[in-house]
Amino acid sequence: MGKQLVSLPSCHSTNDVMAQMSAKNQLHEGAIIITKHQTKGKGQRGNEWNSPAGQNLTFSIFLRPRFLKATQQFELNRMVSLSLLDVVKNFKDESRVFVKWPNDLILNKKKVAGILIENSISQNAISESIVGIGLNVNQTENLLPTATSLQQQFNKEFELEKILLDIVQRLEHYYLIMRSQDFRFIHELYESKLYLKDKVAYYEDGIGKFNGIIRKVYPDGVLEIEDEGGIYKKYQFKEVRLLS
Amino acid sequence: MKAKEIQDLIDFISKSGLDEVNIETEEFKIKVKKNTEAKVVQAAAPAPQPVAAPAPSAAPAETPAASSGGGEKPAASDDDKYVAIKSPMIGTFYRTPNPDNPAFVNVGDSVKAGDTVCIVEAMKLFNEIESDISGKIVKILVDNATPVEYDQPLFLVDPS
Repeated sequence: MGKQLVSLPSCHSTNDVMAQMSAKNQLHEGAIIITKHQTKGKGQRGNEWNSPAGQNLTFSIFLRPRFLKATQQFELNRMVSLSLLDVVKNFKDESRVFVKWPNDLILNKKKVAGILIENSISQNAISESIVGIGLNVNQTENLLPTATSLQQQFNKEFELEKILLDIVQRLEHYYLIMRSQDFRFIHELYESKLYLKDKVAYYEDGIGKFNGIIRKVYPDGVLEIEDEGGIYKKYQFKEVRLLS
Repeated sequence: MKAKEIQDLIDFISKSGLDEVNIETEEFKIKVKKNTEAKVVQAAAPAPQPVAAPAPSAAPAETPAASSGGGEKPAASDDDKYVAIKSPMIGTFYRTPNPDNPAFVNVGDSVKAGDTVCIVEAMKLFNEIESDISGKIVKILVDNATPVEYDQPLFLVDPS
């Protein structure tokens, strides 16, 4: 991964540039597109991911995970969030870094990285996957109250290229495990680093607000929360929200 | 012991009011236990099924373009000669790449195998779904931004 590296001074969205290049067959598997300044970064459908120029990592990686069926796509969330977690936990104190279901990276209770994955599904397999990653590194101003950066947490400046290389190396590591169809290790690891697992927190679902405890994540990504009455509820993304 | 005898035994026990029966002879050993209540840790009340997360529909992995056969039986209705593009996963169905973009396809459009026809979002992953067949879109079966089940038909395509 990373052997083909496209570095852009600025662009709208590295995911979009990657999709255009992919359509023209210009990409090898593992290609990376990185930009110093992403002007219209994509978050959840219609949302934006904003990042000031030159301070953070904003890049996309191109994969062809045909060995994954469409129904196994959650493995991509696991693989990418664990890769980011490995890199961030290296800096200090592993006990403060978690993956918030389904794929946010949480450092000291705040979001430090976001992931946006766009797949192409053909004949029930994932023929292409564009993995967009935004990691807050050296930004210290204008962070949302719910967000943080590495510099804010560790009080030092980080070298972006070095962190990029570390992330790519971890992605490759997990990708190879996945390609060997051995998912158990990745499932266990993901669950062991799941934010608020086995802890009481305040949630809201379609019925109302409740105290609940995350108990597990199913192989397909469905989240299970136990409520105060001991009832286990299953959720797709967007069907439940953490309030506290 | 024959299957019929085992069945009779189970019937007998189920009517007996006993929760658990163990029988052991030289030939066999059988343990029958009533499923009184799923023993979920800490579950006080019997758990009603939560509203969320619809279970995936039965019939697993039917080939996507199954019903195309044609010829064997006369078409009862128009729909018989059409082929469905089905959802490969549970998720939310979107007809557009972004909220402010036009739809990937509309009724009357021609599609080729490999063309993107919609997005299904699942667990924060955005999946562009490609058509496996070529033809003309005759019907869009699902509203934009609504949930879809695994294997649920999304579009009807006239392959002729």
